[in-house]
Amino acid sequence: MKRCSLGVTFSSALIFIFLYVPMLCVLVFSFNASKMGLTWGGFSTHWYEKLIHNEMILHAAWNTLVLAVTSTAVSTVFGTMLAIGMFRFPWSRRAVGKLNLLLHLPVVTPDIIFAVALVIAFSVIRYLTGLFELGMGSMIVGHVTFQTSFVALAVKGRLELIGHDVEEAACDLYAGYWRVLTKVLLPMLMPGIIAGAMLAFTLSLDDFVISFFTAGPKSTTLPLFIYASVKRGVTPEIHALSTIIMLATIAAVAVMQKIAPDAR
Amino acid sequence: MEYEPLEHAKEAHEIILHNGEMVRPSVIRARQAVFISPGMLTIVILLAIPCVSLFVVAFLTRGQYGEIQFAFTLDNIKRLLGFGYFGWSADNLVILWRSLVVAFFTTLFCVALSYPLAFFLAARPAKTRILWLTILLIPFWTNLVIRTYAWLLVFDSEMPFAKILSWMGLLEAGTSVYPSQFAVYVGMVSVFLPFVALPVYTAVEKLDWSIVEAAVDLYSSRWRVFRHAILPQTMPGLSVGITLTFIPAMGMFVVPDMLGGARYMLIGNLIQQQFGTSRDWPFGAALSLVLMILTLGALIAAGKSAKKKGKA
Amino acid sequence: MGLTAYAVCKNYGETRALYDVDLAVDKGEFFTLLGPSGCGKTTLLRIIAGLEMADNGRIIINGKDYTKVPANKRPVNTVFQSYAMFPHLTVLENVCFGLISRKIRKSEAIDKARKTLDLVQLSDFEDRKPHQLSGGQRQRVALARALANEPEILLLDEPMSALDAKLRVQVQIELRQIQQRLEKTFIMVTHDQQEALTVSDRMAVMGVGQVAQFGSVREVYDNPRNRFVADFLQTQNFISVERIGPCVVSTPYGDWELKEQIPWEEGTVTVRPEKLRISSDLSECDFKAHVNTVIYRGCYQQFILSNGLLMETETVLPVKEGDELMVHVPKDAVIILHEETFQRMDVRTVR
Repeated sequence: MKRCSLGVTFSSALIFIFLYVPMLCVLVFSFNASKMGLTWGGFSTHWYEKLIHNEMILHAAWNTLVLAVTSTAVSTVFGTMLAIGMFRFPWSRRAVGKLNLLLHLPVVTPDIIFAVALVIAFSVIRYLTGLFELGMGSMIVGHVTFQTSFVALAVKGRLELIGHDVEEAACDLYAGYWRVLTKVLLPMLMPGIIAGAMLAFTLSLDDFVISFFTAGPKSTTLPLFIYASVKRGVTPEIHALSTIIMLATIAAVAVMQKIAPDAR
Repeated sequence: MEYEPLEHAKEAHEIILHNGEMVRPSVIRARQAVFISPGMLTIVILLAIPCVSLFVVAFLTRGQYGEIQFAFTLDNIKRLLGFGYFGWSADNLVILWRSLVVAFFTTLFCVALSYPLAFFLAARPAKTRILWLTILLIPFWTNLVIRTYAWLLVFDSEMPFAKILSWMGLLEAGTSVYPSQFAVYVGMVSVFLPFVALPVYTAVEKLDWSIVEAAVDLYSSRWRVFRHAILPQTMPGLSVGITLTFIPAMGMFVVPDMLGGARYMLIGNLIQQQFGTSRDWPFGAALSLVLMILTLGALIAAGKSAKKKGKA
Repeated sequence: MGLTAYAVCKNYGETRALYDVDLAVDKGEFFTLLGPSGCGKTTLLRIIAGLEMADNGRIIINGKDYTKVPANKRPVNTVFQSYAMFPHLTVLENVCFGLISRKIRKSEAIDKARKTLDLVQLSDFEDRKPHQLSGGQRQRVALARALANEPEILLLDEPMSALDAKLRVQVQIELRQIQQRLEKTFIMVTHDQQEALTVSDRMAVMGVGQVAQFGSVREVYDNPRNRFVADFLQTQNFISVERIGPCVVSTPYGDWELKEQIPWEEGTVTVRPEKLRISSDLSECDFKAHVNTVIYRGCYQQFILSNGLLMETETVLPVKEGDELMVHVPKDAVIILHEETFQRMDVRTVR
């Protein structure tokens, strides 16, 4: 017996409207020809054309992509290794408790404290070694720090589905450790690794706070750019940029559902 | 053929069998270290140690140019409690209290909206359910700044919403709905709704409807059915959702910054100010410390309630 | 030659999984470790495979000590209870896996894998993934994957537990035929006595961490040595008796003469229900009893007698509930049970 009364349907409809109206507004006004304000001045793709020729936006888009791709690549490797290291080896119960705490720390820490912690860490490292000016490098490191845990947890979920018997079978069939790892365990973990990587990628694109604190003058990303522009006032160009990002997000989610339907 | 009994029990302890391999414990330990150290070192050096160091930084002095001086002081804590340079003021405490209140009500609103949504999703046929979930998730994956920015647009003075409000006399003509408390709540709820809705949906999907039927059969009112048959069963999902919302909501700084303005600051904005324009890291650390302790408290409370549920 | 396991001990913390077990398996025989769950039979198999490490004892295969050799260097292969297929590899790749691990040339490995797949009649399925196969087919792939490596000993861990009853009987016969054709040493673990009887040359019945009895399947089935084995092999009728002569016991049903010397004063004998005979001759009658319940089993029928004994006959006999029967207990049907709970295999006289 599963019931869905009229009240439930109606309120759900309102909630979906609540979630989508703002995004639709942005979409509609990105095609508004009038230059100032929000009065409708006819349909135009003018702002999109302007967007393509804006060096700063293109640079920010490039930065966003570099940041997301690099941090995802690094954190996928780190997170997969971490999951295998933590959940495929004999650890004492106390060690598991401590490691689990550390693993979940980036997940539960509020963004703002995470960002403060990174700022402190970077300044101490800079003080000690003279390295790590805030910029793309520090942003990538910052993103990797929170992505790694999410990847590790996604891979862990997959790891728990795989019994030890398959690895034992490989060993029984004369495979050494490296062969078991690369030819059996990693291929079997692949759905989890892909899900983790996609999660890491979207988390990086979604992030604002950590980027905001760790960015340098030349490493502005799109969210940072939009935030700074909004402070100066709403412009149709930002509508267009936001629309493109929203559509890219929808496309990414659709692709994700195609590749790994069980990874959310 | 004769074999002497072999006493190799001692040796056996020096060799471990790991997934069919016979290796010395030192080899296993080396592998463990290789596997976990990149990830763990990143987390420890960049997050765990700095978090702990907040306890130190919060008691240091701010130098003239915003640098940190290694001199112990309680000034930051005093300032937090309102004892500033110009006598006592409640400003900081008000911001702290407001953060808690906003987090609480945001969570409450999200919970209230999540149940109809969860029941609606669970009632979809299996084929289209993934689609509906995706529709729910798309705003969730869209960048926070863009989503908040979109509300700025909706709340603009030239948009219908502001005009309706001013026609009703709730808003001065020609002004926008933001910055206001209302705008902050709308922004926060739209950000955090999926965090509650998804775990609640997962719980509702697993709901044992026979218990609900039993309750209906025993002439329960709608509220009693919810209270005694549905709520206990969806509690695990609900508590996950509450934790996922309350904690980040306390520290949220983008939404109040964009929709609340200077008059409606939360602790997150205050922290950001100290690390940004004010360059007062020790005070920022003290504020972060408070937020961290609140987070820890919320987590412990969540853990305790989960344990209690586990026993019952 | 074959396999010798000598004084194998294994503890998991406080629990003893194996207590000083000796095992000797001849080359080319089908040997079964039979026992209830938790008796340590799987642990013993895993120790032979090298997937588990014994606390003490030795594993000798064809005269060579493999005790401290890891699983991936032992000349044994295992058919796992779960089959442990590599889900991301095709059937052919699964079967090739062990050969390629041993650095055999790829073309040669594929040749050999195809031949083995032929043996288990799965040639047409080589490009399928494991999840596209039925349970029975997967089991045969697991068998082929192990056999392709030409192991000295093939280990089978409850290989048929995931199959349904009808398929199981067919697979048992196939397995026996393959073993006889290849003349390889097979060691199987099972808790199913029918399965053990169908496929094996010899078997060892295991109790808690020990071998309770070993021997050819016929020996063990016909002459369980002790109460545990008799119980596990379901001899059903246990009778407490007292010795009154060298070969005569007094039972609640009268005095019976037995075929051999009785080693104790008081003890238990057992008699299988199908060995009890209905006699028409009063001089042959050992006891009289009423039939309390008739249970029709299709190919045979069982009677629960008024004195508590159970007997089985062909269904053609017209017996009704309430009938009085004259029952004859043949001399060689009565099995004398010994008190010691385990029997040590003499590994020094391995053939």
